[in-house]
Order: sequence, then C-alpha cells, then structure tokens
Amino acid sequence: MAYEIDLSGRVALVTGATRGIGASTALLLAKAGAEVSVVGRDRPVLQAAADKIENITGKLPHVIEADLSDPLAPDAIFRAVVAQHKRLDILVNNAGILADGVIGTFTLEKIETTLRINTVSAMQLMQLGARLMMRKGGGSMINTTSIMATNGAEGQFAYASAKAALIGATKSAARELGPNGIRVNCIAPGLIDTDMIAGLDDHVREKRRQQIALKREGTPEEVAKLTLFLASDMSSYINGQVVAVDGMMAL
Amino acid sequence: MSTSTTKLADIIREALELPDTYPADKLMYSETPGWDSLAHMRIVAAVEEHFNIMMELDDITDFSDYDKGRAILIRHGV
Repeated sequence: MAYEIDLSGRVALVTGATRGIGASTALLLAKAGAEVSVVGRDRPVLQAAADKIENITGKLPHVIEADLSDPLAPDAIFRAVVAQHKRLDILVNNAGILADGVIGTFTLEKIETTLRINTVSAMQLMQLGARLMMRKGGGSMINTTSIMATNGAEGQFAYASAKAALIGATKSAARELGPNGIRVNCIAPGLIDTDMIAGLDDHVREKRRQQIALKREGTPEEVAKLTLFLASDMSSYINGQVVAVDGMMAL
Repeated sequence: MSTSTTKLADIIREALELPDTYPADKLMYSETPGWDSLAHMRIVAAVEEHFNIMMELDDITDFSDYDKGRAILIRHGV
C-alpha cells in the first residue's frame, strides 16, 4: 500500500494564510483531511484564499481575521479556535514580515514590529497552542524561520534576528513540550517565489538564484509539503529540528 | 461544595495520578507530589477543557492550589 498522509479529524491553525507559503500550506493540510483555521490581516484576500480551498477540497476553512502586530491578537485567535473546534492538533506559525535596511537606519519601532510579528506573536501562539494540544495528548507545531536566521544576510539585521530567536523558542519548546507528546520544529525556506521577494531587483534575484544548487527558486507548495510532513505522524520522531527547504542555498 | 469544585479536585488528582482520597485542601503547587511546572500546564489544559473556559495568564500563575482554582472558576462564571 502506498504511504498516505491522512489528517482527518485533526484541527490545524495556519497564520499568514492569505497568500504564498501560508496559503499553500493551508490548502495541503485541508487536502490531507484536516479542519483548517486560516489567519490573515486582509479579510477579502483571506476569504478568497479560503474560498479557493473550499473549491478544491469541498470544505470551507474557518476564517479568522487578525493582525499579529496587535499583542492581543493571539488570545483572540485562540478564543475563536476554541469556540469553533475546542481542540488544536497542528499549529503553523507562518506569518512574517521582511524589514529591509542597513544597520544604523532601523528605528526602534521597526525593530520591535519585526520582532513582534515574526517572533513574539509566534511565541504567544505556541504558549496558547500547547494548552490546547495537551487536552488531546499531543500535537505538532511548525514555525517558519529562514535561512537568514542561521547564516545572516546583509540588509536583514532585524528579520534575521527575529527568525533566529524563533529557532531558540522552537528548540526550548520542543524540549519542554516533548513529554506531553507535542513536537515542535522549524522549517527554513530559502528563496521561494512569493510576494515577499517580488520586490527584489531582477539582478539581485538572479544573483540569489545562482547561489542555489538547484539553480531555481522554490515554490510555496514545495515548502508546504515539508510542513505537511512535519504536521503528520510520518515525522513522529522528528522534534526540535530546523529543516531547510532551500535547494541547497549558500548565502 | 458544588459539583464544579468537586470536579476540580478530581481533575487535579487525575492529572497528578493521586488517589481519590487525597484531600482537596492539600492540593498545592510545588507541595503536592507531582505538581511541578509541567504538570501545572497539564492541569490548566484539563481544567480549561472540562469547564470550557480559557484562563488568562494571571489565572495560570495565580492557580497555586485548589482554593485558588475554585476562585478562578467562580470568576469565569463556573
């Protein structure tokens, strides 16, 4: 019999699900049978992403409009999940923002916002998610970090810091929550063809492509497949890891 | 004593694998065998699920014994 990933009966929460990697992830989790709650800032775009999932899978995801720059948003998200599903099995912290700039030009506000959305909100969601997952004896958390977290990148002083902090949070959570059957891992995408890099100059983008052994950008779906694997029991003994999905990229 | 508060003691005892006879007024964080920080989160999760509530962070840190737990439940309208 061929291996299949079946997430029927499980509830997944995906942040930053309006487009790109988050939208692909929500779709793949739904295709695998999970009940998916999608979180995003922009209601019409989020609803369109949810409608697309419904058209493909026949199941309309639970739509939660929230802005993770708001410190109260994680709590509100979880109240919505509890009201809808009363459980959580899979948490995908995908929401994130880039913050371009050279050292010396970052305002305190820009640093704090970058850390809040990329790191602090994910930590809040992990704390809340752990309580819900404990109810059913386990779960899987997948945090989205970046190749920049471990390698650094010029112009990404704040973003790389935020994503590096997320690795520390992931590894600590993996140790602490493991006894409760909760696995916590990071995915580290490289250069992925999303809106996040759409603003890159063509010359820069090509230069980055040449730093990748596979000589091409990844697709959101290629990243989503890794998250699907980490969300499922196929990865039942993988915990506290940072898994790159970058075509072997060297920064 | 209400059914709710009796159930609270049951939930704590079950999470800590204590006998049904363990006195409710002896259920205390870091004093009762097994009630450490990790068990605390399991107790919080079980209480939230059973009573269909979501505790605030302050509730979780205040919940240091059975009586404090009862007070939290009352505050949440249980």
